[in-house]
Amino acid sequence: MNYNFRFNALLPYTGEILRGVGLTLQLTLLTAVIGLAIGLFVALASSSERAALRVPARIYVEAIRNTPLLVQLFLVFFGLPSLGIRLDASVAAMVGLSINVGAYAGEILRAGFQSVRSSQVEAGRSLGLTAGQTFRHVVLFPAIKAIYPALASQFVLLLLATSVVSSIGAADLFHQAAFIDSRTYRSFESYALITLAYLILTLAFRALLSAIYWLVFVRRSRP
Amino acid sequence: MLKHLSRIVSAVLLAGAVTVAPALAADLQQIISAGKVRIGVPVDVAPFGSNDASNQPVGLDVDMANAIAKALGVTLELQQITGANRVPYLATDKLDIVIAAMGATPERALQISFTSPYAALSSGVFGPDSIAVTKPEELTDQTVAVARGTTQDLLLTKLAPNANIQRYDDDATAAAAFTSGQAQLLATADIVAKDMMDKNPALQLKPKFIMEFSPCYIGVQQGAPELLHWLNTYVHLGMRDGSLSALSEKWIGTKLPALPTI
Repeated sequence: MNYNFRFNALLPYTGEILRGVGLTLQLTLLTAVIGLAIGLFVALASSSERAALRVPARIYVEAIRNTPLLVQLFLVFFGLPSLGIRLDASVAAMVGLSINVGAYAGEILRAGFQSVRSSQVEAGRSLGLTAGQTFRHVVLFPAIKAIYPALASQFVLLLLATSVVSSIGAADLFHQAAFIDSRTYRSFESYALITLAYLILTLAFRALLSAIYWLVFVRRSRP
Repeated sequence: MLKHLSRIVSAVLLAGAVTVAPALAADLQQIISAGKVRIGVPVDVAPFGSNDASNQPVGLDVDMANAIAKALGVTLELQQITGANRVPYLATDKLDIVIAAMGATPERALQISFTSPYAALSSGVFGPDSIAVTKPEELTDQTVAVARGTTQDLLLTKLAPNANIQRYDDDATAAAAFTSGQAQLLATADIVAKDMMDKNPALQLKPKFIMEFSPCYIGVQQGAPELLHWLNTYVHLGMRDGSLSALSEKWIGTKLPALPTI
């Protein structure tokens, strides 16, 4: 129980760590936005009366939520080239993660839409709002406000899940730590450092999500 | 105290020397007059020595053993051995010659004698004909898959600083990156490249350049100088006429370079 920490050994690899942080952040932010967009479509399609929309949406959601993320990433990265679609590791990571997050965000948003009573929609329409206006002000906005905490947790989980993409060779933060470990044999230091980095990233990301909530929902609803 | 200790140590060393002292080795003339040579080949090291579907020993070392027996003009008594008993089989006079993908070390050379190298395992970069790369310095935009932290990774990082290296968790994933077309080249051991091509003939894993060679040596009992010299002559001639290189290409997939002799 007497380990000599030598973080100095990692100093030559500062560039790698920073690049890793960059890709992890980029993946998280882009994927959160794309995933939210996919989720919105999926939630609308899932709540649709028409089976032609509802059934494919349900199949997508169930297929993604009941298979491992790692397998989905391997399918995109190693499988799609057989169909002539060759994506770079970081692009494949973004595509795979977006498809994954889209399904979860879709389910969360669907729950939000269901929380809005149909009588409120009818009330909106009878006040003279168009169908689009009703959807925006009466359904979408209150729905997102209601499920915002769940959505925010999902995005934080997304940030943590990006560590899986190193398996397909994308040079994210975890990938860089494994690389540094393979060069310095300082496993404890390498992984302790990125544990701290992930912690800081996650806390910063949570703060960002709270700020967005305050800007969009709290400040706006003030009289 | 120290004197006492050194006495014990030398007694132990002496005892060790006595027990590992080789039985009188059969030298070249005894082998020829006996009309048979006992050669050990690996049982579990493809492509050097393993058993085929009909349980017959096959491999580079098996071919080598047959060729040596033929050149000696005697019958071959083939014995399949494992890595652990390569040296003991010779040291206890159960075999005359061991051809078993064996690397030479000073420790092993205390107990047996090594000929000049007859084959080599190599680490290199492999890929299709369409990619014209012959040196590490020529690697720039081409993507090379490698398993992170392996000898190949360390060598490639050092030799080709401008290369676009994709690092994967293990050999299988790096190989998958190549077979799926995600990487244009694969840095691996030559026997792995050969094995992949044998299993999937659609793959093209031609050696682009070799980064490192690990030579393999024939082992003989100590106290058989004429046999050792004859084998060295045989290896030397095989190197010169290209037959050893052809053997290497047949089983390992790469040509044999000029290896330093012992």
